Amino acid sequence: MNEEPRKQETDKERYERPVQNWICGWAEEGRRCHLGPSPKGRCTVTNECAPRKQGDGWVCTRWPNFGGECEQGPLPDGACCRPIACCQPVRSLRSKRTMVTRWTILLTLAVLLAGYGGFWRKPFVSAGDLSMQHSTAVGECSGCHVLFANDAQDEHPDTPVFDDSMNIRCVACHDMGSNSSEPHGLARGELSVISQRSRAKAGESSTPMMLSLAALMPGGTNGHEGSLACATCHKEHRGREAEPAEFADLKCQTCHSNQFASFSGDHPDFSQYPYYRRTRLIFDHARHKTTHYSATKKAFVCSDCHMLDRAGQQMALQSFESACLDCHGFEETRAVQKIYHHGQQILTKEVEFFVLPRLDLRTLRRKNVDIGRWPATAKSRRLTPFMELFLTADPSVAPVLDRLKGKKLSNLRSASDAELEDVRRLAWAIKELLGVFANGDVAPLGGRLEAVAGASRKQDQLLALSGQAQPGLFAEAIETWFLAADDSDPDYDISAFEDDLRTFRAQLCRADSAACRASSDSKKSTTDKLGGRGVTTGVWTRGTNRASIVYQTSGHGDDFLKGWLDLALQLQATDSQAQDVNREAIRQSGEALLVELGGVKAKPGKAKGAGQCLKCHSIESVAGTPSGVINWTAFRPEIATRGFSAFAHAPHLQLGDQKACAVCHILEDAEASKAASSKVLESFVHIQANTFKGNFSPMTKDTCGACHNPKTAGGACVTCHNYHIGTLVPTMLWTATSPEALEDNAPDGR
Amino acid sequence: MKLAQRRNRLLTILIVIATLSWVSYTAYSATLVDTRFFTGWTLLLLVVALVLLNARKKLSFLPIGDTSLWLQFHIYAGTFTVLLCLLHIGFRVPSGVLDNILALVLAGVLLSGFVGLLLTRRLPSRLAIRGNDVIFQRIPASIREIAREVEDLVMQSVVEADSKAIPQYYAKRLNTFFARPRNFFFHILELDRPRRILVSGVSELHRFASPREKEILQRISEKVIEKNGLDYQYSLQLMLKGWLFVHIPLSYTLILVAFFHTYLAYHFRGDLL
Repeated sequence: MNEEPRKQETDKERYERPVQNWICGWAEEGRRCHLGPSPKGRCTVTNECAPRKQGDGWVCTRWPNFGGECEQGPLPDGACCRPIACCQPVRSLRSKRTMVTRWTILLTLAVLLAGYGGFWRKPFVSAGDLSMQHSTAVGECSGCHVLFANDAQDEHPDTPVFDDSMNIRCVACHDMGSNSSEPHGLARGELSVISQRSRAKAGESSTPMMLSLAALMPGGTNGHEGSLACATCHKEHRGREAEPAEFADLKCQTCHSNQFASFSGDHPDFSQYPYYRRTRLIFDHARHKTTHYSATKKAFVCSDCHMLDRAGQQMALQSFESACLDCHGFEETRAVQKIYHHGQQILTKEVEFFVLPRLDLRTLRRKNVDIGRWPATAKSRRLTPFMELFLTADPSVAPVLDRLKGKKLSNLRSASDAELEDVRRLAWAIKELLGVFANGDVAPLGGRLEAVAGASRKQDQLLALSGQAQPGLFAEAIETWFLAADDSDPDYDISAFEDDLRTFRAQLCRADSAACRASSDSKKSTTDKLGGRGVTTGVWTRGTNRASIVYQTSGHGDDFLKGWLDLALQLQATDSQAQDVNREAIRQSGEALLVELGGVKAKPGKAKGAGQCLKCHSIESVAGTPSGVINWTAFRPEIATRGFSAFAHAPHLQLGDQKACAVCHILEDAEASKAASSKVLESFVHIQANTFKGNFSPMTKDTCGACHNPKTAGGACVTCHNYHIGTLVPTMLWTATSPEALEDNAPDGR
Repeated sequence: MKLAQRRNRLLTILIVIATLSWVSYTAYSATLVDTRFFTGWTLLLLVVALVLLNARKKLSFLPIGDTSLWLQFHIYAGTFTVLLCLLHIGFRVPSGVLDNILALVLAGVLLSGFVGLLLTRRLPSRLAIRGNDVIFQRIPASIREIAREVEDLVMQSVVEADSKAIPQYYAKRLNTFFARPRNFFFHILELDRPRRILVSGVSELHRFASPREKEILQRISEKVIEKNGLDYQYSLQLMLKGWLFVHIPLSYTLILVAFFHTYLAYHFRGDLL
């Protein structure tokens, strides 16, 4: 059987013209006309030919392809004798395809215009679902996109063309500091310094090939000076499960001078990590383990003192009461608080705040130097550092003190008239000072604290410095020492000054009877919450055998001691906050207070001081504070700034308690080292926290690399490093429903 | 150059370019620059260049290279857009209404293009095997002619042989068969079943036919076969022309949506300029 289709005519004159849009409707019948439809699809052929005049007659001009000249020939009037019925032209396949294409284009344009211009514009143009974090926090597109915020503002004059100000929206919720658009949030120039330091420390490493190629690309190296948009690294609209902070390792390194292939490969080794500074509290781990703990047969367990912070990131120190009190405990007695060392009571914990010095009353009387009443119980050989400070703050008294320095006031037989006059002025200055303290309802310690500590102190700081001493205590002291009648003394004369004091005392008693009683009746420290911060102070008493006013500390964390030690540290710096004062005297007073209160060793091995605070609390230098600051607390994770390194203790502690700590924190061999141990303590002699000898060996990369390799825990950059550093405010967890709401609730300054 | 040689050479060039592109993209991804703009513009310009093939065909008088060369570029560059698109979207499923529309349209264009490539490589050889060149536009006329001939044969059977079976069978089965091109999918799938059914039906009539009827039946069988051949030609040639009904309109849609996507990408880029 022959399956071959019948042979079709291939005459070139019957070329089908495939580009034509219309085809004769008779083509399907096999009777298509010789011309075909017009370009507009109309049938224009009515006859098989268009006769041609030849002489007197007409000649048929039918094409040979269509049969050639017909037998009948044209009609006498020249019309063709073979009419063709009009056809219904049909579109060619090509034309149909063109129509489909045009309609598709129109439909596409309609969909785009409807989508972009209709009320469903936002879901239409949205690039996809937001991550889970942002979809709950950001309600509208305008929450991030500035351009959408202008939708309703028809008359907004400065509609941005592009959304390049989107950073503003990001930092409205995410407080990244004042340099949010700079690399790592560091000020320009600061990063260069860090880079130079890093380059100097790092060893050799090989740049991965991809990074070498990347450096050749346009914009390949961002450098340290270019700003970065948040969107450079944080991509959104990738679905709810996507992590906006996901970032490839190579991208981290594209800016870095030291580049390497992987952590387990040629990542630079650690130098001092994590021990870049000494501890804030003076604590010798080795000595405690090998000497103190072994002596008490107590196990040296890390978790006895160290605990995980709330975030599971850092290790914080437990409170003094939990970690230290068992050994460094206090015994409260009525008058004395003791500290125990090796089971022996070593120190009392009371501070003489105010004393009356012993004066050579006989000589003064003989020389007619009028100092008024001076009690026989005034036995002190020197003024307290507090008194020296307060008296020095008085410009009229400071020179007197200076001249009397080193003089023995209990023996004035060989004193000159000028010296006696100085003694007279000193005595009345002391009385006046006491009188001012008795006027303490105006301000703590009569307002004299501002002259010493500076006017910028807050109320709770002044309260701590005053020890919440009641004015009545000083008033009673005045009455006891200076106002009690002494009939045996014929020269005794209550001056107008003393009359005023007595009147004041009477007034004080009427206003507050409690102020009349000595505060020594109460053993408990008073707490006055000012501004939400409690001030813990101790107990005030008057000396029984000597004319003195004594402060008994409340125990560990006494705010009086802390306040005065902080002040003393500042005062010993060259510039004092008080004005018009004898700076050297102030400085010396500060030094004396440090010894008196903090236990600063006067000589090696000799500990002095009421508080012994500085035995454990180190002093270190801080930028902007020439004198340094006392570290009253250990490292506090909750206020720590984010550094470049990010380490979370919690996942690592799953390995087990003591073993986990010892994997990374290797205590240097304490057996060998009393010498080494002493070097640890020597580190605290100076105030440079970065120059020290620590108890622990720095970690090595191999310690981390044991787990952080491609096969196990992975070694991505962001596993261990932060990009955003500094003090970052946690993101607010509320939903902004409008740009105005976002701006209303943004942190100040934005 | 032989076809195989040319194909191998062009494939090699494509693989090299693809590899270099992948490496460059991976390196570029290590920078802080948003590579999507780079890949996006490359993709857009490539798509525009691909669409220009249609214009090239229409402007054949311009001395801008042979159309066959353009076609080769169109094929291989079109293949390359697959990789480029995957790099642009980061090998993840797009999200968002417009992005999904764009992805679907591009997928449609690529798929129709690959289907078209496959058809243009396979079908002509199948057509050539089946015999003479047949002009697609003339197939309906040829079918109509065969139908008229078969009608004449049926009339002859009634007049000359007083046959009832033949007209009945014609009315029942052959009339619709000869009316227009038939059995499109069977011919695409190279299945001969419809023809065999019809021919066997005609053969069944032979048993009870007179000699004249048998003669007529024989000729009708030949017409069935001939018409079937035309149907085959029609089906395959329709496929060869019809895939462009999908590919070309989708290409223009792709251009429009892509430009709109570009506009939105810049409008909401969120970068610092």
